[in-house]
Amino acid sequence: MTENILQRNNVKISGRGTRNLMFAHGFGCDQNMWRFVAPAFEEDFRIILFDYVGSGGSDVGAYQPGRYSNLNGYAQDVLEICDALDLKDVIFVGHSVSCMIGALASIERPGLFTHLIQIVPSPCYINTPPDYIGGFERADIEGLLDLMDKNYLGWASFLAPVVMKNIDRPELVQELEESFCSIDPEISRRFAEATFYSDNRADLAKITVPSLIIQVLDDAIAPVSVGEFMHRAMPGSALRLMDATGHCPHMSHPRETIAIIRDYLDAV
Amino acid sequence: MDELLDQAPCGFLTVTDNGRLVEINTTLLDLLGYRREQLKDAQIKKLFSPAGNIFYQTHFFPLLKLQGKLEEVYLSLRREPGEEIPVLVNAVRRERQAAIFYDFVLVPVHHRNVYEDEILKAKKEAENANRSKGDFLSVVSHDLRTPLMAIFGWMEILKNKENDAELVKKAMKVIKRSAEAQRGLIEDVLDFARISSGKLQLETSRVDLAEIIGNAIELISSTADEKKIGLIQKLAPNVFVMGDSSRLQQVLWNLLSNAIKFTPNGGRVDIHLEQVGQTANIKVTDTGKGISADLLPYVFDRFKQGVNSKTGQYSGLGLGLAIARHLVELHGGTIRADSAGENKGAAITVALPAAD
Repeated sequence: MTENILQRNNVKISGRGTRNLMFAHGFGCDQNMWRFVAPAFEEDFRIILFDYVGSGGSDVGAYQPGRYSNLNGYAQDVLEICDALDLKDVIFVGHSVSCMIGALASIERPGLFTHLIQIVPSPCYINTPPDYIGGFERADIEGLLDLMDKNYLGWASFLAPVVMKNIDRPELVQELEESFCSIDPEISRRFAEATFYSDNRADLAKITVPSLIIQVLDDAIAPVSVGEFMHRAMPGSALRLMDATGHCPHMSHPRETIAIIRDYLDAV
Repeated sequence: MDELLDQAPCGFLTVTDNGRLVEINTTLLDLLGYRREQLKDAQIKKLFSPAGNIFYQTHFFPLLKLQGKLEEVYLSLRREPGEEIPVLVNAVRRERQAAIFYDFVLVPVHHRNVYEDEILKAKKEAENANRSKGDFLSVVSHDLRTPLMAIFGWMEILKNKENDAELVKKAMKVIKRSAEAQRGLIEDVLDFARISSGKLQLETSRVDLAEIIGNAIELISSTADEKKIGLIQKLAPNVFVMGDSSRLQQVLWNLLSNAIKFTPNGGRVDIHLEQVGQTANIKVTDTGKGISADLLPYVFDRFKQGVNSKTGQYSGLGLGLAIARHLVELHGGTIRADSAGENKGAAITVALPAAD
């Protein structure tokens, strides 16, 4: 069972420390996105990296549409990975949608986590004016699903024949598969729906684990006001604004991201 | 930027690692409707539609950052004020003057976009049809087996010579009913196959609709009696159509049996026939479980039924209304379903060209 879970989520362990630092990737990518940040913590921490089912090197055969139709299914995966590794006192670092996934896991098992570090989180991506501006209208998300369909269609039609011709060259096939971080368009689509149609605002007050919210000044997906909304709603949270742009500061500004995480962990 | 690149027949831009635009060619400025000074030091997100922006941030940028190169990615730009422009993008990472830059080439794909939309739509329809066929086969195999099992079960009981007459009578009744049910299912499947392949031929003559409806009611009345469902008829006389009497009777039988199936014991089914101008209208109304708004547009699609027979409550292949629609359309008519919602009954109206 343990082995199955570790294989299912392509769990990778590294580092020489004893404190557990778990990195969870966001929608659209896989654990490789932590490549610029995670190594900086290897000296002092035990690093746990993984892929959600349907992403990266996970076991696509383990995908269950019902389980992963909302973020709770992904939160269960996080808990199962922690149990499979017998982890305690986990510091959970999530990017984007993983912030809420980690938060949901912590609500279910608050004793398992010591801290949540949330990089560009959002509890709800859809606007519900006048009280809340999540950044997008439902039509925008439908547009995203169309874009994904088209890209995955093109990619799948390209990949399938190449895979068939190069079945004896697994390294090439793997490289191609990694060129899009999920190998199954349907799973990606459902993950997008689970991510962007979720509304977890009511869960924020239930988060009791001390948390750091890292927001960037010019985030293309989650506006600063979302970070402020979360900070107000989450007891025991701290908010740090990074002078960065985009939605992946851990990739575009890794040094600053590392410094902020380190500062926070040193202080607590 | 040299003149060739500035005027190239494709968009070109360069961004820094944090998404700041440092170069953009005139072709792309013209395409987007911007003046160069409007985009000075702007973020690349300003160029994308909201959906394009999410895809860029969640897929494009992370992959470009990790791989250093991306090809043929579909994105959508935003032209002021709000018009979207589909583009295919190639991008590559370059190091210049000890800094990292990303160069993008963007090609508008208006026509290809329409074509791809059609392919995607067809792909989804094919996938849905395939899924429906799979569901259908699963239901067929289940539903054809159910009456057979009843027949075999009662035949085993009949082997015992000590059975009393009452039990034998009951066994024969169940066997007959099961065989009829199976014959009905097989006929539905065969009819549907004929309709799908265009091999169904009508034998037309001048048909008295009141007589056809009367025949269908006679066939179904025992089932209605068992459920204590009242069959209320209001049939105008002398309403004629040019049609195939056995096929029209099949339509009526399908509509009535459907109404009775989905109406609880003690309910009511009304059958109205009238002629309005050159149209003969037949309306079957029931007080049954109704049709939910989300199912209503699909009730005449093949293999659709309110409750899957595999799960229990209502048996059948979900072909009855699909066959009825095809037969009505073969007669040059139309069929329509109305319902105020679940548990609020339903009405099916058939309109046929009237004959003198």
